[in-house]
Amino acid sequence: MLLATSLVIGLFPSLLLNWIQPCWNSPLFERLLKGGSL
Amino acid sequence: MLAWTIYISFIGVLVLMLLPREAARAARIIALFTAVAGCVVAFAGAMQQPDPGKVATIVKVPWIPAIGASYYLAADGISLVLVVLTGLAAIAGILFSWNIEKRTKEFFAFYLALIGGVYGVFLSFDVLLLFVFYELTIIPKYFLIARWGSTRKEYGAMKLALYSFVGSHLVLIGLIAAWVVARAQTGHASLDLMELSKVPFPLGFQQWVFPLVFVGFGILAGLWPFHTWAPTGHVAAPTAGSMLLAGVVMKLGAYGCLRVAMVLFPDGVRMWQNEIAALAVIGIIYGAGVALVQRDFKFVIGYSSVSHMGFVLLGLATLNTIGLSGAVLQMFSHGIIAGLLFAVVGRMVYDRTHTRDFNDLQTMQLGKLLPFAGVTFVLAGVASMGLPGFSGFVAELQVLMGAWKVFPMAAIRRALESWWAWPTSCGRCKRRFIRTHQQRTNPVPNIRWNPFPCPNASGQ
Repeated sequence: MLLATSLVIGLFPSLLLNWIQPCWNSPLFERLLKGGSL
Repeated sequence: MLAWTIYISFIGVLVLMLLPREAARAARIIALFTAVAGCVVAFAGAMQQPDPGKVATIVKVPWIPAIGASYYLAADGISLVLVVLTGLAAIAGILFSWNIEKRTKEFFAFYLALIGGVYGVFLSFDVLLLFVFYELTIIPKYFLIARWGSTRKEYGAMKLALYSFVGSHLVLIGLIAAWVVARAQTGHASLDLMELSKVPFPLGFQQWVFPLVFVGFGILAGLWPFHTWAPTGHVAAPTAGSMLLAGVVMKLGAYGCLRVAMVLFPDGVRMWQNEIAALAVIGIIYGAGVALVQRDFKFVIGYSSVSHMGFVLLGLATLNTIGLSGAVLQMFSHGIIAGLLFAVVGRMVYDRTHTRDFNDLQTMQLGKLLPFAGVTFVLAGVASMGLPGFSGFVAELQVLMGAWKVFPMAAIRRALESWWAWPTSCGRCKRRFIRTHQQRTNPVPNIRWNPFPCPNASGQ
């Protein structure tokens, strides 16, 4: 089960990346990624 | 719906506590049923999330109004990835603990309490609630290792607990300071992560609070030089404990670094970005190098976990979307692969040979005696190395691409390091499972499974 999961994600990383990447547009990460006061 | 992952786990703990002590089989089945139910809920909840980019509130009710604390559970895409990982790791850990005979119901009760706490951390969007769940995981971790562990179990359990508590104290100091400053600036008390993330903390304040909170969480993530709890804890823990420690518990630290330290103090991250990257690269190289000279199979995987978690921290230090995505993907990938490696070593090799020492193992021709374990370990090993086609490749590639943009020298050094990791890792697999010896220095125990044992020549 674990090996198959690693293989599936390795072959189709978009399954998880489609969940992860939109998060960086969230207001939560806005100051982190778009620069703060520095 | 995702909140039920937490509730189901703790309901499982209550049911197990009500069982009679001798009902070991029932305890195993209840634990498995609970873990499967939690995993199904995690998957279903993740599929129902319409937009993973937005923070979807699950439940939000006032908890301690005087200080602005609320019972606030929510999830975004990052939470979903880690909740699904926890569900998978929970099921695998229970299946690989099926042979636990000593105090079975207590073992699974602590196990499910740990799982419930981990789900809680990944779903909390109130920093106090997150901290409470984070602390809640320390107690079952300690007892799982101290009671059901093996090599120097009391030492390993105490070291893990002390490191965790020191880290937690650093985090607590940072959170109290953030709460005080935020209340002075906004005029009202709040521990809501979304509200705190909008507070413009002064630069001087972020400069000293950020490292406190980041290192506090980083201790549990295996941040060098605070990583030393990890190898001893992994070695001392029972198989399922090692799987959970490497699989999900180390991710709690990395998640805290990202979700709390970096989100609340973005300017602090920038001030300390180079230092974090340097520690991460040292951890990657140091962990891999020390793993190569170990004689205990679990120590090898324990140190390689430190190395792989260094990738996560390097990805976080990039502060670009590709590096951060790689870091989160690496959390998932390492959780899956490390769990599998510990399962092979603990359940398939150690339970049958009663040794993890390489000097003993390489005289046993395990490739012939345990071919399934050999094939599984080699596949898990190549997945751990980052072979294309496995999850580790995509994750590490993204971290390196993100690092290239910001720290090109660190990326080159890490890429060179992976060149020599390839042949040495392959050599390790060969020596453990494939190498044959003309003369055996140790007697090989009868580790083949035989359903019809017959008396030997001496009639015994």
